Order: sequence, then C-alpha cells, then structure tokens
Amino acid sequence: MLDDLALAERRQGRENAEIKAKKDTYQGACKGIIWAKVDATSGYIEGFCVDDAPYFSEIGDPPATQAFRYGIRLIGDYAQVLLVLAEGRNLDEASAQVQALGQNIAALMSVASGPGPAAGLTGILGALDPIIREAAQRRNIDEMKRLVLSGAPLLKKLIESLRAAAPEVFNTLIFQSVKGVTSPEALDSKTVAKAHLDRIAAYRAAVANYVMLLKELELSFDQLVIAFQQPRNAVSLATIAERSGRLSANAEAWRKVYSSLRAGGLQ
Amino acid sequence: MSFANEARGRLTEARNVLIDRRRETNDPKERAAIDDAIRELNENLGFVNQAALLDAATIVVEATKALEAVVRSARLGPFDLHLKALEGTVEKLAGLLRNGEVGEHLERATDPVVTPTPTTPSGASPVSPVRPPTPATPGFTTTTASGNSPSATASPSPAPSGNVSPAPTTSATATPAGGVQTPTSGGAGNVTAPASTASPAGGAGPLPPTGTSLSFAAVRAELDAWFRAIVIRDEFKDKAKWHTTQLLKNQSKYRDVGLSLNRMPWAMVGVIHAMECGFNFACHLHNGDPITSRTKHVPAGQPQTGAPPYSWENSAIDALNGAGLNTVTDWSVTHMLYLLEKYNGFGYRKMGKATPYLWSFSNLYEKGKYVADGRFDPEAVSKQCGAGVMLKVLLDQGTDLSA
Repeated sequence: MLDDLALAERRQGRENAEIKAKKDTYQGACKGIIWAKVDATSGYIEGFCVDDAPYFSEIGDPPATQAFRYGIRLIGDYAQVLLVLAEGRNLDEASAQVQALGQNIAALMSVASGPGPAAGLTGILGALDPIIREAAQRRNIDEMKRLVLSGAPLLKKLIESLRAAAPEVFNTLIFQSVKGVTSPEALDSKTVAKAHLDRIAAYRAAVANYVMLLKELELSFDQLVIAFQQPRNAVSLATIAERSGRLSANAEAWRKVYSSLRAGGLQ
Repeated sequence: MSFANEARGRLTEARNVLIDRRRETNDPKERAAIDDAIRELNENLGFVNQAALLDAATIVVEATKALEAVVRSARLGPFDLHLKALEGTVEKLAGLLRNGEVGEHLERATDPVVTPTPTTPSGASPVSPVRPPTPATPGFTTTTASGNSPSATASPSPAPSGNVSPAPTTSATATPAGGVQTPTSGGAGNVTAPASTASPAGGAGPLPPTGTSLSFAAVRAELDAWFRAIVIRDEFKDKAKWHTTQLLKNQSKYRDVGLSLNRMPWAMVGVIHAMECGFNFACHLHNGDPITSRTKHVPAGQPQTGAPPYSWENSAIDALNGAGLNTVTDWSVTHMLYLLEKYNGFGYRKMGKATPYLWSFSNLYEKGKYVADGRFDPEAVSKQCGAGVMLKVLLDQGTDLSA
C-alpha cells in the first residue's frame, strides 16, 4: 500500500507543481517560477523548485510516504528488539564486551593451568561462563520489561498517528480515481466511471484493513504491557498469543488481497 | 472536523452541483465550462490533499522520534549493566592468580617509599645499602648449558642474616675475572648474549654491588656480571621452565609485535608480557590492567588513543612505544636487562637493592619488593620469575631471542 501511496503522492506533487507554475502561485524561494508553453496542450515548468524535488525524484519515497514507512518500520524494529531479547538471540551474538571478557577468562584459565596452587582455580573460572550467561538472560528480561513499559505509550501514540493519517492516505490514493470519475469521459459513460469507482472502493477496503490491523497491533501491545505489569498472569499471556496469531493471519490475508488488487490494476 | 476535511467537503459539494447541472444541460458551451470548473475544483482538491497528507506525516514523524529514542536505548549487549561487576569478578580472580605463583605482577618501582615493617633479624636497616652477594650460596644449581657457571654443590645453609637482597650466590660463582665482559651491540633485532659465561679466573669473588647510578654505562658491568652469576633456585626450576615454555608457545605473537617496533626481539616483548600480565592476553602491557578499559594504575589512562576494548597487540605496541623501546638498536642481553629494569622502574636500584623484576627465582634475590605503586615492603617476597632469569633459561636452551 505504501508503494501505491508513493506513486500517488509523487503524481499529486508533480501535478500540483505544474498547476502552481501555470497559475504563477509559487511562493517563497520558488516564487516567479512559471509555466512555459510549447503549444496549447504541452509545456514545462520554467525553473526548478527545490521543495518539489521529492516528487520529481525517482530515488526513495516522497516525504509523507517516507514518514509513514519509517514509522511502520520503527514499530517492526521495536518488536524485533523485544523478540531478540525474549529469544535470547543477543546472547549468541556476543558483543565486543563479551568477547573481551571471554578473552580475559580464557587467558586466566591458561595462566591457571600453569604450575602451583593457582591451577585449582581452573574450575572456578570454568564455572564463570554459565554464570555470565545466566546474568545476561536475567538482564534480557529486565531490559525487555523496561522497553515495554517505557516504549508502550510512545508506540501507542505512533500507532494512533498512523491511524489518524489513514484518511489522508486514502484521499491521496484515490485522487486520480476521483479525477477520473469526475472527468467528462466518466460523466458521459457509466462503464468508464465504474472502473474508477471500483478502484476507490478497493482502496477504501485496503485502507480500512490497514486501520484495523493497526488497532489489533495496539491491543496486542496493550496486553504485553499488562503481562509485564502483572507477571504470572496466564490470561494475559494467552491473550497475547491469541492476538498475535490473529494479527499475523489478518496481516497475511490482507497482504494477499492487496497483492491481487494491485495485480488487477489497482493503480 | 479538520480544515482539510471541511475544505474537501465544500469542494465536493460545489462539484456535485456542477455535475447535476451538467447532466441537465445539453448546451455544449455550458458543459465545457462546467468541465473546466470541475477540473479547477479538482486541482484545489489536489492541493488540499497534499497539504493534509504532509500535516498527517508531520504528526507521525513526531511520534516516530519519541519511540525511536526508546528503541535506540535498547541494550542488546547483555553485559551493558553488569559489565563493571563482571570485570570486577575477573579482576579479583586475576588477583588470586597473582597472589599465587604464576601470574604475579610486580608493582612499579618508582619513588621509593618504604613500608614500616619489623626490623630484619639482624637489626639491619632494610634500606641500608645492599651487601654485594658473596660467592657461597648453597642449595642452588646452575641451569647454564656451558657448565661453566657456578654450580651449587655446597651444602645448604641459610641466607646471611640481615641480608635483604640479593641472596648469596654459589660457591663456584660466575663472577667474571677482573670484571665483566662488555657485550657488543647487537644491532636492531639481534640479541647478543654476554660474550663469556666462564667462571672468573682466580675463583670466587664478590659480584659488584647494585649501583645507584641509573645510566647504562654505569651499570653495564654490574648487570653483565649478575646475569652470568644467575643460578636458579632448586625449588623454582620447574616454574622457571614453565615460564619459558609459555614464552615459546606465544613466540609468534610476540614476534609480530616486535616487528612493528623496529625489530624488537620477540623475547623482550614476551618477557615484559610475562612480567606485566602473567601471560594474560587480556591485559595491558603498560602495567597489567585489563584491556577492556584504559589503564587505571601507573601509568594511568593508557593507551591515550583509540577506544577500549583494545586488542592486546595494539595495547602492547602502544606500551612499548611509550617506553621508547621502538628506538632501541642495542639488543645485547645486558642492555635488555637494563631496559627491563627501567621499564619496571629504578626504585630498587635507588635503594641499592637487587630488583626481583630481573632476579627473582634466582640466587641473586631473596626478598623485598614494591607491593603497590611507590610502596616498598622489605619483607615481601616476589613470587614471579624474574625477567633476567627467563632470558637466562632461554639462552641456556639455545633459543634465538632475536626478532
């Protein structure tokens, strides 16, 4: 959907730039940039407005799409961090600090295996490794709790802002169809109009699903917060598992439907 | 209702009116005018949409920044918070080892401040100038390959009372005849052993005392004579051998560092590693502090460049560079001994005492050592194999000490 939004936003930005040039309504640093006619139907924008660059560029996303994409990716990053901590994957991905400590221990063990009473320390040193791992695992749980409790309100705010942006996402996505359905061709032909109307309906369903998935996501994180606030709450854990499963299934279903819509010429 | 929604609503209402009118009229001119008007309304709608989308995106960006800070603060390194505690544990274990027999690290022998301790059995002042070692110490055997060095065949007897250090030498001493042979300069990377280890002509004689002068020229003869007089104490022979085994095991690592330092002999790097770190590759060569951070003891705050944790090699190069050893070209054993003593500090020499940094485990050292930076305890005994003793064993084995 964000790919579609990028196309729509870019197209809208380009069209608006042309209109501003044609009407000589550019402001600020771009004031004075006007439309240069070649003939009655074609021409070009005389000059270059830097503010319009994201809409004409083919590199990356236009600004709003970029913000939404980053916001959604950040939610993914946040969840990924929690997952890494929960699964203890970071324990195997040893940091430089861990390596340095391990090196220290290994060196000490090597020294301890020399002659004299220090050799008896080998066992103590060998036992240190599992202690370190256990401490690290405990540390993971503490860190996860900290991240959930401190991050959850901010995550909710981000999800809310993404959800609040849904109408603008929708209006941008359907804008070409709106223009199409109000064009003289569509106003004179129900068949032409229907294609545009179908597309608007499809985008409405897509954005609605997006909003519902964001809501599901928010509720799942709410449950996670409750689980950390009330440890050993089996109900919370079961709810999280159920919600997570449903969220994944819904997201996958939506992705498939949306893919087929795009394949059918959504844009 | 937001401004964007309201604006969109009004534009749509206007467009609806125009569309109704268009449906009712058959006048082509009017229809064309209506089409233009609808296009105009749609253009305005496009501007409203763009502005509203950017506004919504701005709100998302603000929310993103707040959560981003939390995600960025995530501590995935499992030791972020516990690192200090764990480092402390490792350091304590290292301390246990140092108090044992293999990993001791001799403190810097800088400014001599004597720890008040009971007087020695004879009542002699612990700081009184040391008596030159006499050539009759029992219980020692030589490890020299030539067999010309003193051998301990005399019957054991206690060290002379009141003799702080060095301990007596053997009956068949290695005191050079009429003085010492001055080693020749070996050039960068080439180690030259003292030219002769022959017993002095004329039999036993006292070794030169530990001089208080700090220049190499002044102490060269003394170091040369003492080195040739080394006899490893029987009880330390296995441990001295273990030390040289460790040196040989790590030889390639020491050689790599030495080659980065103007072809410093690997043995020099290795012996300093043994003395400062007890062969622990996770410690700074500067003073034995852990490489996970800059040094805390004298010299503190090293290495000054780079960021911890340091690699052992980088730290070693920094330490040896800092000591000016990268500019040395005379790698005769006698000069190495001088440099090693200097590396640890001339605190012992300033008191006229033999340094355990060079002579521990041998007949040339009995007791007295720095127990903390600048603090000397005349009764403390080093449990570390002296650097000179290690070099002696290596040479006696026929090992090439060069770069």
